[in-house]
Amino acid sequence: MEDEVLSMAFQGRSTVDASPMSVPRTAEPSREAGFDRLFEEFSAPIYNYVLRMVADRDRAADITQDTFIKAYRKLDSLTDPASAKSWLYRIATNTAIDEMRRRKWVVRMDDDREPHAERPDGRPGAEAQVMATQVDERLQRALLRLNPDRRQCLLLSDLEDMSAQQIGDVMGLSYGAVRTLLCRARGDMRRHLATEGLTR
Amino acid sequence: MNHVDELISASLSNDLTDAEREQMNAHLARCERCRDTLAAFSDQRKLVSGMRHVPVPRDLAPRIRTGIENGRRPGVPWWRRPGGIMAIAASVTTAAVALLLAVLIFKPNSNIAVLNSPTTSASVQPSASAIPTESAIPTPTQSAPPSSPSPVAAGEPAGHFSYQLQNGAATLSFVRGDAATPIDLPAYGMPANASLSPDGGWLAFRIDGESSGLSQYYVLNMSDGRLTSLGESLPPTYSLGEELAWSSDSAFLAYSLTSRDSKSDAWLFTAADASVQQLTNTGDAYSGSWMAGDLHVLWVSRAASQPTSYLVQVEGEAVNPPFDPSTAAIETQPGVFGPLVAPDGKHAIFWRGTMGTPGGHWSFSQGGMPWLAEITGAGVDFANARQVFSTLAGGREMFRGASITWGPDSDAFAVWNAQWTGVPQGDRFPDSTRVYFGHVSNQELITAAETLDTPDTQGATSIIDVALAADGNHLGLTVQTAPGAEGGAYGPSAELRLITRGYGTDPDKVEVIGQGQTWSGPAVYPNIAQP
Repeated sequence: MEDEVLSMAFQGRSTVDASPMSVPRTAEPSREAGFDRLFEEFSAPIYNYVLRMVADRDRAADITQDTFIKAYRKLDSLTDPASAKSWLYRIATNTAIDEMRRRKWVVRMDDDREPHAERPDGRPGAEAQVMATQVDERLQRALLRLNPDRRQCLLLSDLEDMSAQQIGDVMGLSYGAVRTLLCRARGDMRRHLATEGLTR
Repeated sequence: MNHVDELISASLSNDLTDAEREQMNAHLARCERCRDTLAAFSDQRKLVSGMRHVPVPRDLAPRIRTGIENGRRPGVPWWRRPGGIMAIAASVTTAAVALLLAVLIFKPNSNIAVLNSPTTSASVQPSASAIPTESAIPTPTQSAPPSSPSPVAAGEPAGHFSYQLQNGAATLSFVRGDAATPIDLPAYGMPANASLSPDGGWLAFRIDGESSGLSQYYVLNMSDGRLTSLGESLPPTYSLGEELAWSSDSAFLAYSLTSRDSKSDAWLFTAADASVQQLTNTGDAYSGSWMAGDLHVLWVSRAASQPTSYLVQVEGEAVNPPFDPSTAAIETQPGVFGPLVAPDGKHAIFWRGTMGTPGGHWSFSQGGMPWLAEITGAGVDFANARQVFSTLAGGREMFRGASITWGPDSDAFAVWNAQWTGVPQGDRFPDSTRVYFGHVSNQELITAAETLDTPDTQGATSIIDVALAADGNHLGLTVQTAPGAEGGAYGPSAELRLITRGYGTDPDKVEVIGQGQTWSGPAVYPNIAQP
């Protein structure tokens, strides 16, 4: 599915009548169709991946926005449709890392809230949803305790289902280094999940 | 973690060869602990992969469309956008700073006499350009920097930076004793790195966190207070290329600038006419440091999967910058990155390893490790170098990068921001939030025993800078202790901790400067050995 969509994107063929993006109509149509495809295919996964990295919806939206703007500007550098996913995740990862690095200087006033906490649903019968939300928050807290390299590696593997080779492409690491890093991440995560009471 | 743990981890994403899977299964059949690990890792993967999917905000697509149409610069977070804290900084009045600066900083003092008393008053002329240009450079200074500084009290810094953002007002000062002298900049941020020239005549420094998101580099003429912009750069990543390297005669400062599109090149400041020029043009070059002596030969490294360092001469008819260092080199060292030569020219610390650009910026991706080499009459003996972290295995275990600085005595050196990706040894060693203080005279160089005491860095969210005194036993640590706040109510906080290293089992002594919502540091020590 992914390769097919992207291949069409790079050939400039559109299979969707109404693009959710509707990028500037003055630009080259095939380029815009390609970009629309990328957005349609990857905006949700990228947003969720970044959200799990930074644990803040506003920041995740900002980073996703910047990721796609950068991707649009760099679209010409993407010549191989098969590498589009790694390419886009690399841009997202770099953008998130840059944001986190800059952000160490200043924190928002409202950052003392729980990481992307949800208000429990007050409607009757929502107990299961509340339980799921609580698990999600504890998982997110455990993720946040990982150092950024390890968090990123673990998310690319377990959330994005990437292979060590693909993760290496995104993170600029060798296959062996990814395997080592991922194992460290799992070991750390195991301890953090235990702290959150989420493991056997 | 052991080898089997790694196989178990890799098995979850089908990243095992048949032989590895066979090996793992054979082990699992007889090891309950590893079966538990497999179960735990599998559960963990299910939990993470099942995390709730959050819908994309409805306004994301229109925001991206608007961003593309408007050509809005991506990557600028909310707090740097117009109206953020830097708009406040811009409201700071431009005072006649230089005269005050000269009078206050350079007032003769019985303990610290590194700096001359002022000879002129002049207005500060910082450059507002993205990259230094001829037009942005101030006119040559009217007085030569002092050439023979007097000794300072052992272990005592010549001064330190102080930055404060409070209720909308930003101030940057250089503090010496009780005197704080404001430094007027076009936009403010946190001082993060500083280097005094060996003759004490010039102070180079870097400002981070400014409104553009770029680091700003400046050099201050300590004789007359004139300020020269050295350019702006993406902040150093993994601490690579952050050196502000003065030649031993203080004639040149070499440094690196990285453009917004991640192109790095070496730059050169010439003290004689306060001019700035681009030294390399390959987009992947970082300045290292100078070989000792008067020949003005500089190590420049080109980052690549296999990096290479080049020794280049920066003066003479054959030199026509900007150049490709590979074509201008008088010596080429494949596999070597960022040689940092000790002030006495007898040793160099450098990096080996495979490099990559994981964050869009170069860092080590495999085998990154600092090494120490002796320098003989034949040059740097890279072939017989010793690993700086003598007890670490290397290979897959590696540093992404680290900050390293020599002490003026050429024996002491410090390593911090050590981004170790491998197995920590014992009690979190190496740790990016600790400082390692080694000596060339110690055969083991750096082991866990060379970690500065826990209280030295306690409460630090990151180590900003480490400066070493000439006596080899005092350090000035700039540690960030708190972030700032949105809207400019207050800025980030950093403490300057002046450390006197304890001998044997004696604890270090720590004197803290600048507590509360201020940014104190970096410290500036005279860049020469005690006579």
